[in-house]
Amino acid sequence: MSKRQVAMVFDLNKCLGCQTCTIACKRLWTREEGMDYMWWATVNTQPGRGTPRDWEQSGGGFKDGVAQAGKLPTRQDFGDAWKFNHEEVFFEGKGQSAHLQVVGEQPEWGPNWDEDQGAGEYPNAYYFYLPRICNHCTHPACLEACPRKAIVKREEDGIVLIDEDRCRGYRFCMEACPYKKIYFNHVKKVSQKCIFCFPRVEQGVAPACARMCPGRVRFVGYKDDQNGPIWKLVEKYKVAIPLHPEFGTEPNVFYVPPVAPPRYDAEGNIDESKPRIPDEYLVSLFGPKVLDALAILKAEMAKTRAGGKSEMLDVLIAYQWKSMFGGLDRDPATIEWTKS
Amino acid sequence: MAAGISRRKFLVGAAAGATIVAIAYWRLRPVERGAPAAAPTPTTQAPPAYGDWRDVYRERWAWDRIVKSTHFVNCWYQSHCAWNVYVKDGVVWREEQVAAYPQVRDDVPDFNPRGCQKGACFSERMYDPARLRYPMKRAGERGSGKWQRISWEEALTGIADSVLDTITKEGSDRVVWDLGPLYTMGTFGAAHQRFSFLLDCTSLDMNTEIGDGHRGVGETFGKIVFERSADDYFFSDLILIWGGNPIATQIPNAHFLLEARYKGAQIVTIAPDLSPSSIHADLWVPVKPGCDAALGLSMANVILGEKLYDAAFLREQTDLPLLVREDTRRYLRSSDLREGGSEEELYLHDPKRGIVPVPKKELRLGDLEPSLEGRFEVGLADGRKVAVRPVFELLRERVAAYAPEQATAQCGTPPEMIRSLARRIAKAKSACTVTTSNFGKYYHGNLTERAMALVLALGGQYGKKGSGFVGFPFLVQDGLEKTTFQSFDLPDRLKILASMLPKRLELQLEGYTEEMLVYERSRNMYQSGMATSGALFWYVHGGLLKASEKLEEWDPYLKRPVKDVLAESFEKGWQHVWPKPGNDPRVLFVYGSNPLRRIRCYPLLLENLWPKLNTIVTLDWRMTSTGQFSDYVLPVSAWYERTEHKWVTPLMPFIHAGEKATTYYEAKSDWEIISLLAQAVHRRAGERGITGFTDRFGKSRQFGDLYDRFSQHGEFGPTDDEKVARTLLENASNLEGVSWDELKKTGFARFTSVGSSIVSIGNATTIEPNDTITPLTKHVIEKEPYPTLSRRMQFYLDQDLYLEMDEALPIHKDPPIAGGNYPLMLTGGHTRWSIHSAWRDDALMLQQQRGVPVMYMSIEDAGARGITDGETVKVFNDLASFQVMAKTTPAVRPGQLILYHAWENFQFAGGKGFQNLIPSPLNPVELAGGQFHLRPMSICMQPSHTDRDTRVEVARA
Amino acid sequence: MLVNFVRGAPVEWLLDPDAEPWRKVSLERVALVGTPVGLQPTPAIRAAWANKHIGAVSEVQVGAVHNGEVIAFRLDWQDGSENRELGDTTAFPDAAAVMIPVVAGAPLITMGAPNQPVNTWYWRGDSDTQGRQVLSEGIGTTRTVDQTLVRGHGIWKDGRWKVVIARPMKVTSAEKVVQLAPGEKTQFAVAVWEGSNSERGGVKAFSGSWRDLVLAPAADGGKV
Repeated sequence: MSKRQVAMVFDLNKCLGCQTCTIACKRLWTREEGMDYMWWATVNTQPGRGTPRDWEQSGGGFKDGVAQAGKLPTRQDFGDAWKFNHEEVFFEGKGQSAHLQVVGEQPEWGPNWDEDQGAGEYPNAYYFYLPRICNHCTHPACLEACPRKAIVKREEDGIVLIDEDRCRGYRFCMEACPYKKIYFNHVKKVSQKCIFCFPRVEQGVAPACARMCPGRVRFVGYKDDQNGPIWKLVEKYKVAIPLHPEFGTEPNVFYVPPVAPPRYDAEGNIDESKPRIPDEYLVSLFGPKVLDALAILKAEMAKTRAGGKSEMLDVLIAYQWKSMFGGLDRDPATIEWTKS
Repeated sequence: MAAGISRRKFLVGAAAGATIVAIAYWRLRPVERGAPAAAPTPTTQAPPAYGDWRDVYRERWAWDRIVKSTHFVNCWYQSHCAWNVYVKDGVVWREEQVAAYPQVRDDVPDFNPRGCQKGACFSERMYDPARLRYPMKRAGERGSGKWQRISWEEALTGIADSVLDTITKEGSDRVVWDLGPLYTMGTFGAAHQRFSFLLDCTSLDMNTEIGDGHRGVGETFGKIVFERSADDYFFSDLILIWGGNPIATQIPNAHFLLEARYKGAQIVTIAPDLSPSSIHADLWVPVKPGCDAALGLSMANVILGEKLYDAAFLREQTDLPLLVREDTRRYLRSSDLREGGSEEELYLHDPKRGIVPVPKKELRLGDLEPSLEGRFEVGLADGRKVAVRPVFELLRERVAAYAPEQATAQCGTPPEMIRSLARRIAKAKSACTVTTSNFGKYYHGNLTERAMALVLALGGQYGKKGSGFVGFPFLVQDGLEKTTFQSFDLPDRLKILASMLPKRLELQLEGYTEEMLVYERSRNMYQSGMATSGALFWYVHGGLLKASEKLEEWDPYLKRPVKDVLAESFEKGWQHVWPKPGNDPRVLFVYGSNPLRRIRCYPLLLENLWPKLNTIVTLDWRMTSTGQFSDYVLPVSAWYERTEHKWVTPLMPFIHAGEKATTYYEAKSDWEIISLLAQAVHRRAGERGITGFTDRFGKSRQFGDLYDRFSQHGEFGPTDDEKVARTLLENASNLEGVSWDELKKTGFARFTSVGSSIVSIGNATTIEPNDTITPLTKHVIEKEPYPTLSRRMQFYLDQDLYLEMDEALPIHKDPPIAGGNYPLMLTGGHTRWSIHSAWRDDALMLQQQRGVPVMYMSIEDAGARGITDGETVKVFNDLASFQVMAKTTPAVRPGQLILYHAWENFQFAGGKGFQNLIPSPLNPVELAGGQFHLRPMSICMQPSHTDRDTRVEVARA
Repeated sequence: MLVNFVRGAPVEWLLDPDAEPWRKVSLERVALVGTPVGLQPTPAIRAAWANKHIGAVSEVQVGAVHNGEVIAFRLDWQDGSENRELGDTTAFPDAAAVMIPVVAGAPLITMGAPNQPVNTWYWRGDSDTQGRQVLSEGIGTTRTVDQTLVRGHGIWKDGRWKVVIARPMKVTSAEKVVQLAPGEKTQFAVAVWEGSNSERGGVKAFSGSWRDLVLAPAADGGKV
């Protein structure tokens, strides 16, 4: 156990599926050689096969504390990196005979391939957005799987990092991570993953995915900070719960579950007898505690609907944006680097 | 500016038929400025010496310098966001939001951080292979993709010669500017306006053409511009997302909605599909596409039937008490009652005072209590007696046909749902709609908007914080018109002022509000042809009307061929177009726009218009579908390469600005390009011995002082972008205390009023520093008349075409089967993934989609055709076909297809873009005019193009 | 195994398995065994390999020569697939290594032990000529010392790998790597990773026990 642990809470009722987090991360960290197919931050429409494809069925993690075998996703499962033929279309004199497409084999999967598709039957279709990053687990399967002790969990903040000097690219961590949030850099021949923007955190700045999120979905902070949003949402109000707790890694990203509109009966009237998003589906993602969290959230929403106040919802509203970051709220523009 | 005159108001307007311009009514601002906001003090941070691999990441995050900027494209509802542009080794390396917007009130969330995924990767987009690096001239057929790199000098000389040839031989109005989403009303706008005004060119007003015309709003309110600030949702207890998908298309604003939901507001999304905005609602009400008017009218039926309406509001704010003649179905007018009476004086009935004229100068009724019900006899000037009744009664009769049990068949919403929704709207403390520019893209969208405006009016849901149906959002610095005016020499300016003042005073005496005066000026300008209806331009000159030939088969309500209505409209002067029909356009400037991508049924343009054009010039930072078919493509600086500021909307009432952070190959700012073009025209005229030309009003103009005037005698040189930006700001009345020097440091500044611009004054509200913005308070609270014929929200329109089409009151009409009798309705919407087409072919954005255009399709419709997810399908109707990847989902309503906005034609096999089969039939009622507020003006009350009613069939490819 | 001395043989020759010096070297058969799953260093690896066969390559032909300065090992083995690329995420390259104890008696199966380091020279198909020199003192302690001193080269033809791994016998290094000299005696072991069987790290086939290694004196013996 680290002395302290940074964590995030993602409010799924505020997630827009806009992928600004995804792009924020891509532009900051995964643009170098060998990283072109990496998306350390992803958002997928649920239900769906996600990224990498079928990751939820890929094994790894722990069952009753015992490490489980896991599968390695392929580049295609992650979606690979696509190159397009702009030059050919625009400048090579081919007229309308060439149109813009992926060079080479046409893709059959991508990191957001099943966007806005969901499940159910019209009009009782359902879906929601599920943002994911590395969970910086308290019991990290990747760290425990690595035979080279190349993965470290930092004492000061619990951030899990792959030591790229030690890593030999064996990918046992990729197999072991049940969330499939580790990528392999084919050029540097090392595994890489979300670093919780540690260079920013070290300077008191929230991670880019959180600070750049226009939906104000991502709360950040230290888990033990009772004045911060993480402790309040996870421990005090118990409205945020981890994804796939049964994977046994004790993830440090928590989710406020989605409250969907009601479903309809065969006549087209509102049917309150069961929810639009089936409970069993949410339980399959977040475990049984999701139903408690939902009940807590709905009760608070009923309070404000009736004109009352809710401290919990005030936290989720975040009247002051900076309150979302548990003190990691420094403006990065106030930093000026000196050339050494 | 001398402090002594700083508080004087200069009243100017444009004289009808004058050769010139619209000029703003502006106020010179005080010299004293507010103290600049303190910039955060940078603290110095030495990057650690290399220790291990972690330092690679630490160094990756470091940068050389930060420049403020934004994306100077019209993101419209989601514009704008202040960005820090991080520069490293002279290259823009990444961007991150400034996120320093002040909290306006303690009890509403702040605006931070804003931004979206598109903005967050512009640093990648600006260096991608779609960028234009050099001026190019085509070296093969148009569209062949064969290009020759040429110098700026060669390009500008060639273009200048073509412009000169056209102006001198055939008429300056044949030089046409198509203005697109890159138009900023900053330096970009200043360049275009000066050039086209000085050379008397025609500019296309494309707001209604793109489908943002909000005709139903215009018909009801006499204007289309009014919107709240996004934080005003915090005062709503019922938010109807009706005709919008803000979760996907207002990314930076959307948090306010979802946070309002946490605060206790109920969010109801009314949409055919389980849209991204439906999943976050408390209630999703499915409706048949294009049939929302039936839902609205049915709710009106319930509200009237259950007497839930706000009678006092209706009496004061709407035309519902106004009297209509039973015999003619027209308003009772003073011209009916006496010889020489006015066509614009209308009447109401008061139980104590009988039939009296409607107060026109203010909405306040005093001791009048107009009757909403009753049948009254009135004697006409010719001695006949006729019965008159209030609009309210006619409305009750009209909506009687929309009892929920009947309307459900039309709109697909169950009766109990209709009732419950109607009651909620009527009883809400403060109900509002999130209605974006959606219904204008339906053939009968005006009827839907009128029905929606009505439902909210019946509930009295306007003017209160967090309430109201909304129009079109627009908020600009109002310095552009004045700055353009300054390009004229002082004697000319005085002459113009002198010519305009008397008319203005006359109208003021008649009770015209400032807003109405602005619109009169706009109508005069529109009449002059400096701007003309883009929609009509393409219909008439582009041959687009051909696609409407089968309209009689498609629209069962049509009474006569639409071309006959068009002829009548032109003849009566209701609508008009420049150049005049028969005068073929010769030069087309594609100025930050993309008509071949944008225009429905664009192949007709290639067939009919392109052959008439001698020169087509695309100015853009990237290659586009139109650039491919142009003669010249000129590389424009992309957004981080320019010094500029840009308009926004009340949703986000902060002007945004940016400074040039870097340069790219030979790209130049549009101000510089147009300056150089003005120089080239000037120079070539001299070299060719051409002294001047006769403008479209028969006045002669000289080329000899062209560049002098353009540059204001050298004050604004080709690279003086910053000076132009500064001057625009100095000339603005609605950014009190905001200096350019401060703005470029902060990146944003809050507007201090809606200002006097044609496209902003309609918000009709105040902007307080410490409060949210609620539109229309000038009318609802301050009782200023609406700029309509009745001076009220007007639900009854007695213009000929409305009577002919039975649209005097809102009605539900089934959508036409545009494109032929096919079972599926091809609809669309703005995309999450691009602002217009600017990011449509961006590799990162495509990677987050499927790499190719997709069409959402219901599981049922796909299954019935043996189509599986991811398959390429052929979509076809009577007009054309295209191929696209099918994306199947239970979230889409069976019978509907959704193909989101703005794929480039070059993204489809064979270059056959999806708009090729969208006929965009011309709705005859949109050719109306003549009546006070139905006369065309800037951005509204012009005919439009539509696409949502397109019928198609789909098969496996 | 005797390491023949080949006077004056240039390093390029030593590194080319088809070159002259190797023609005279008779290769010895060394049986390989898969590393036991129970000895895999982490539970995740043990779980992943519990029901999979470790050690796809069951024997290797080994020989060695030196030219007085550089020692080169030659490993030949049957392999139906040439796995040189990391290719997809799921692809692993074929690899081979030679291990020599730094301290006599260091345990092989655990790759050394505290204060009993072993020195391993790696070759991997994806970075053919660039070898890697590693020190370890027990499982999970491997540490790359350098990627310059060890060089290698592999040729795959007709279902067979011929791989050479070479290093100067004496090297200048701050690390406690093996130093060799003609005429000395030590031990060695070999290991082979079959990429198509996803073998990497501790998942490999190895020679099971140390084998003797005798370096011929530079004075006598052969010449090319």
